[in-house]
Amino acid sequence: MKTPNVGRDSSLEIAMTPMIDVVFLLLIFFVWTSSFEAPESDLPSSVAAAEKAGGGAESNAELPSETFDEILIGISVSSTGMQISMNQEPIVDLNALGSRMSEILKLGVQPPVIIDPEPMVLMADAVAVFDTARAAGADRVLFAIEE
Amino acid sequence: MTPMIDVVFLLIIFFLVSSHLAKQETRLPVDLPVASTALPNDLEIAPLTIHVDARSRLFIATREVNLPSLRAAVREYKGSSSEPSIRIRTDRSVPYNSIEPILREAAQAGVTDVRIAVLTEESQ
Repeated sequence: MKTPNVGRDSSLEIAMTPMIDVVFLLLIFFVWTSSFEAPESDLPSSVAAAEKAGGGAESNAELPSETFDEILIGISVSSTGMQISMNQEPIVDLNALGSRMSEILKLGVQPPVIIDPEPMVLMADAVAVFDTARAAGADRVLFAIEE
Repeated sequence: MTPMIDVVFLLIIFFLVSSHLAKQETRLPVDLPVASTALPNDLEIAPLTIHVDARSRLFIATREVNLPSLRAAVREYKGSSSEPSIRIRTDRSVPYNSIEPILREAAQAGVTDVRIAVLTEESQ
């Protein structure tokens, strides 16, 4: 008759060394694969090329008339920081721009928003304006380029 | 059996780590701009990443490029990709006139999907 092998100590001992091996390997693995960099995201963008004079006339004629054809946001640099203008009209700061944009978008129109920074405007400011326009609810926000 | 499993496990770790490092090699450390409305990275697409460092130098992977070779690279990428997309990782202190040529090359090559890599506010 078989007896339960209660008395055999060797099977009950926990083998420490292999466990430490495995734990150590797992530790190395997780330390190596963890990334301490801040996660990055993408800001979807597009490009609006400046049209040559008269080029857009016939294409505009076919479109249904909208209250706002497009919103042109200019950014320039001055000694006091960045200056924002919306359709040639100066805007005090980003908050004012955001509230103006949401007022326009509340009318139910979705005009393309074209951001036209001057050459020396820093990308941090350009992206901040871009972000404000998107946060106000604009779908199509584009960067202006000159051909 | 056990020594073989040990060795295999070590090899797996080695390849995982080395592939991880190879991926990081293409990530130039730049101070990205901050935005709140950014979308998470789309892993489905394989964008052409163009880096612009604080001194307005352009890099594709780790190779420094000038405008003509950037144009060639963008054209070649456009021809080889079914869903072309350009991702610009730019330092926040770079002026817009360093970014505009990249946007122009993308537009002229017919790549309409241009993304700007940003940090989100909570990841700051």
